[in-house]
Amino acid sequence: MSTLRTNALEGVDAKNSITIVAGAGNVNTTNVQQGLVKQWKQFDAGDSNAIRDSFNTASITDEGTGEFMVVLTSNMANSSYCVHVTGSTNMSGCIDSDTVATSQYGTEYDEDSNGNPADPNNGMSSASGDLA
Amino acid sequence: MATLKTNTLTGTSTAGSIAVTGEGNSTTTNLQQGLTKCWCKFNGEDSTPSFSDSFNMASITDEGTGDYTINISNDMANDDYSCTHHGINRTFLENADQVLVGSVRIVGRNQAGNATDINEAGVQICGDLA
Repeated sequence: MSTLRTNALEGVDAKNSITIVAGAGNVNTTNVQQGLVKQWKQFDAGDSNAIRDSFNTASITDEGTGEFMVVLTSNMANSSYCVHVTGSTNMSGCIDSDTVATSQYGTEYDEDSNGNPADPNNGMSSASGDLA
Repeated sequence: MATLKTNTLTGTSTAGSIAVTGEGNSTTTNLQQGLTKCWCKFNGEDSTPSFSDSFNMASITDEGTGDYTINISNDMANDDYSCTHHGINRTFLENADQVLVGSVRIVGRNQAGNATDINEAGVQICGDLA
């Protein structure tokens, strides 16, 4: 077994692109940078929007009942990134498409029973796309 | 093009931390933090749900209609991770109040908010491995 020890990785031809063999047949490659999730978080709206754990998440802004803005630490390159949002028990989550920007994205949570906005006690989301 | 061959990557200063230059060449991201730690796709309508494909997922426990516990192979470090998912055909999934280091309980629902089995469900977990 070989182990490479390093603190940082960058591509040779392009710093921002490293390929890695990842196919089941050991032939196809994927791209390390493109495959990495760029942001994730879990937060509790019932505890002053405390972020329990996160990556590349600067803060959560309360925009009203069931509405929260996720502010990124390092910006995305564009607003065409992919976000997944999940609500708590008996609650759905989604993005507010009008608010997706390079530096932040809005999330919305609704109660299952009546569709009314509600605050989640473990709101989770993640984002994939191009970093700035 | 240069090709580096290795079986394992480890940080030098911190074993579990390697920086990677981002797409825009202006910032770095973190390899370990950016890796999805568990994912799966499963058919929740089967009498005994099982994964059609998965990574770092051990098994599914059927807890009732639309109600599943997903068991993780290598545990997470804490229960503060992000678990997101998708349903199909106007169904969705949500986390129940059982987000644990070794498993997560999720519930499928239809548009009316009623619990329902989902025949193509996907789950993704991001966070810190133990």
